[in-house]
Amino acid sequence: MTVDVGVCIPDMERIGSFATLAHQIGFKGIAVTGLMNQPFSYLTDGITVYRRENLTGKGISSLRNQIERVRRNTPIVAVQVGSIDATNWAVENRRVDLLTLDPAKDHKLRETTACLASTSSIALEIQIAPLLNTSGLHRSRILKAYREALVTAVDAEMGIVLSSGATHPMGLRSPLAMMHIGMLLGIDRTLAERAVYELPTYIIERSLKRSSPEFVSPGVEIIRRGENP
Amino acid sequence: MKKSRRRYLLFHLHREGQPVSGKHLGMALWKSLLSLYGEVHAADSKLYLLDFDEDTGVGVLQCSGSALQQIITAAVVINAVEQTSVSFEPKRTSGTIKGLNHRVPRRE
Repeated sequence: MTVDVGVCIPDMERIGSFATLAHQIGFKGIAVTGLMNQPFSYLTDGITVYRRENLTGKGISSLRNQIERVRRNTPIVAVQVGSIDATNWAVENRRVDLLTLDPAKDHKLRETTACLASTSSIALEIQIAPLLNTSGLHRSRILKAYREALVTAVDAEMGIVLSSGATHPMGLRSPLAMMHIGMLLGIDRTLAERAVYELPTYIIERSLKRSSPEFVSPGVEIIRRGENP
Repeated sequence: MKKSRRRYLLFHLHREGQPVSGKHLGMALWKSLLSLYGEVHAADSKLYLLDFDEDTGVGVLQCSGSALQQIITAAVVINAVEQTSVSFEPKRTSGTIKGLNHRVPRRE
């Protein structure tokens, strides 16, 4: 199962065209931001659409309120790299799945943040859309920001996830194409393969497992319910 | 100078809008390669669009083995060809055209 965890569909009417292309290029699922109420739904194309929420608050209290509201029924919760306090609080929180880097902003991924994220099993998400929509010097600056962040993440043994960040269907790229963009960003083939084929699926499965009533804590789950004798 | 081996890439160009001609796709590939990797890499790539079906979007390109990775990456970052939004999907690579299981029509 291959999932593109970062698709930004403007409205639900266009989801059909995204799903059709995603199916053609080899995806089994896409995660869309802010359009769904249920954790996931199946489409006729054989594509599963997962709910994703990007937490956007500047302060810790804002992030905390949002996490509490969305975590239960959202397989993917992402936080953007921002102010040090808020970002470090978010990456220490095991309820967050992805740390996203916006190359248009000045915020960088710090080594301390990457180490905290690594211990909390939070992955760094790189969206390829900014690379497709720019060229020349502007693209070069984005490449620099992404490559530096990836070096920091790899050194801290943080997981890496590649997603499209597509706002229109032609912004989607096949898993193999995304793997090559990963290699352009300086990660080796094995890591790029894991960032596209394995880690997104693992994160979704982990979240769905956590939200099941049988889950108690990592490593502990209810196998059978019964009455006391 | 050691002679580099040729590689062949079977691809599918998905599009939204008007069909894209092989000539325009070739130009877009060269421009992207030049922009992303520079003149030296572009010169050494020996990039050549062997076949491209405008209707289905399926095509084959030939390049030197050492430049294959760069060419796929350069092709993948193309988002439009002549105002047509596109998504380049690399399908299969091979050392021979026959290995791609794709029939390239003979040029007259």
